Amino acid sequence: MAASIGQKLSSVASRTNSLLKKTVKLTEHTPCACPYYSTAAKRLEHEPRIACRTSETDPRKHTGDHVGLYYTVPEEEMAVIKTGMHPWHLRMMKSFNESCLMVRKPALELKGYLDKLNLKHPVPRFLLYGRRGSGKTLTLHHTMQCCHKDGWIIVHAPWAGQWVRGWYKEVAVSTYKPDRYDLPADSAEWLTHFRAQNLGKLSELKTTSEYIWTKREKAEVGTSFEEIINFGLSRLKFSSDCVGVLLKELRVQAETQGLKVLVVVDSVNAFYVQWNQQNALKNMEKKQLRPGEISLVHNFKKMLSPTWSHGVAICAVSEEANDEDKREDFTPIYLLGQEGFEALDPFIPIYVPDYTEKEALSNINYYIDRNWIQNDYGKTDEGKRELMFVSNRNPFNLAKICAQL
Amino acid sequence: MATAFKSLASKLCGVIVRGHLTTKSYIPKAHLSVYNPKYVEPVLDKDTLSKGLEDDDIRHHRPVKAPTTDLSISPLFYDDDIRKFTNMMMKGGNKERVREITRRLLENIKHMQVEKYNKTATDEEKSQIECNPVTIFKQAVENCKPLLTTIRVVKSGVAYRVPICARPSDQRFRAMKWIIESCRDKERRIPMENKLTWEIMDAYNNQGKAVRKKQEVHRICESNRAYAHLR
Repeated sequence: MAASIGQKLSSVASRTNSLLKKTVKLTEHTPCACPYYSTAAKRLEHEPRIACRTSETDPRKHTGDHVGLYYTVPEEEMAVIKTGMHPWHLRMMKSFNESCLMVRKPALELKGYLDKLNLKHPVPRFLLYGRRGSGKTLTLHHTMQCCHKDGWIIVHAPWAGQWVRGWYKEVAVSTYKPDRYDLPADSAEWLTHFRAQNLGKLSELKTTSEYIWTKREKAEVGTSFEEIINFGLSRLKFSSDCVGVLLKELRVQAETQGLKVLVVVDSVNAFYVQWNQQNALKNMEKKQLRPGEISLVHNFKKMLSPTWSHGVAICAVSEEANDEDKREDFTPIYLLGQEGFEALDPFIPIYVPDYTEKEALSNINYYIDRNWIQNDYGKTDEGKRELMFVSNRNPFNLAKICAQL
Repeated sequence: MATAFKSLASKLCGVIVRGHLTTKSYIPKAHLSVYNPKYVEPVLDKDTLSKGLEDDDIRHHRPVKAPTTDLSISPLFYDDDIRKFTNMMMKGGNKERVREITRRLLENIKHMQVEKYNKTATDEEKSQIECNPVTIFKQAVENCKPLLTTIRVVKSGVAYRVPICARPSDQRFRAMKWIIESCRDKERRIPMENKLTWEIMDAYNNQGKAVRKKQEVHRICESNRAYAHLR
């Protein structure tokens, strides 16, 4: 007995010793047939510009070899994802004088699913989940860019939490159904966002049924989507109804005319979980609104239900959309709650992890390349390792820490 | 007996205390240390640490001083001037808030400079742009430091403002104080970090309120130079 314990102890001691003695080398990208550059740290001084990047700008052609490398988003495609992006990110891109995104594994996984999809089945739902700041939103952007190149119609809700909260936001009783509530400003904002994302595709799409707004105003059969958006923007009262019309037409036409529709909803749990904070939306009687009562949310929920085909719904859950006492876990079932989980079930969960060592190193090298990390110690091997340790390789934490160096 | 002893004791104490207050005795710096002179300096260099001590080294048998914060902390997150500035800005012990402000201040400065850096085409122009926010901050503080200050001296019932050389610690304190105060005077609704960014970039280029404050103090010293012998 005593001997075995002694053996165990000695083995533990030897292991710890080996750990102490081991000088961990930062892993580098191994060269492969694809046209990209290695991120060897020792080469940084000679060729700082080409480290940690790939020249493959087409997101459809990214493979596992590109994981952890930055690709440049072309200017015309930046217009697609620009309106939905966080201002913090846009500011970084402006300072770096280029728009680069990192190729991450979840995005490739998602793209692999989309390639092999049978669109005739009811809409499949994908759900991204992960810790705060691990890159769920940027994964959505990467996928959106892929699908935009393939000619999909993109229906994107950049931050669903915006539709269930707001200080002094205008809430009007719906013109379509009295027990529902419109958000004219948010709807108009979404319409412009939708138009910007699908520029050039909307004028060809025509409505298939008649819509009557008031006694005198109506949209005939065959009105183009462009006109409906313009109507919604000029008559804010009907902007929520216009959103409903567009979404319904997209659902119908996807099935009949074979349009490919990509529905992207960020922080989808806002649709199913009640927001109880001070800035929750209230109606005229000061009664707090449920998310289902808001017409925008109601219409988007329909896009997520598997009642139509020729489309894909990609959602992400985020902790920020929940109340502060309900942010303990980041798993879908906890964040969505019973109601949301039942509504979305069955879905395909995709875990967005924090950076691997390779990715974190690539990120730090990219910052050094763009002259963002100024601290001399941060540029050394040891400093890089410390940055990784302190940020726990969480992308947002890493960016936040590097911001002050 | 007892009362007499007490009165004597109180008298003596009074004498001792008064003596301490009036005489400016010179105390050597070593005597101010909290450590017993037997304590030895700590080893901070990692290479030396990993080598270990030799068998006959005296440090085996002596207690070791604790390393000070600025020596033991990582150079990534610590700078003495930045720490001082942060602490001076703090109100009511709300350090978390001021640290966030300092972090954003450095970020803002870096955004401004890095954007310029990445937009210029030639290497020659690029080398002229200073991107390091800490260097910019230090240079800005340096530009605000006054060489002379005034003290108040009362001679025969008249108070004079007598110019004297400012001590280095005093210079730093004044410079930082003026930067912070000039930002507090500005529009209240603008975030502090933005106001500080403008002020520090101004001071870096030898402009702005804080630098003007320095020049004003210099002017007063210049006009009061006749009193310099009173110090």
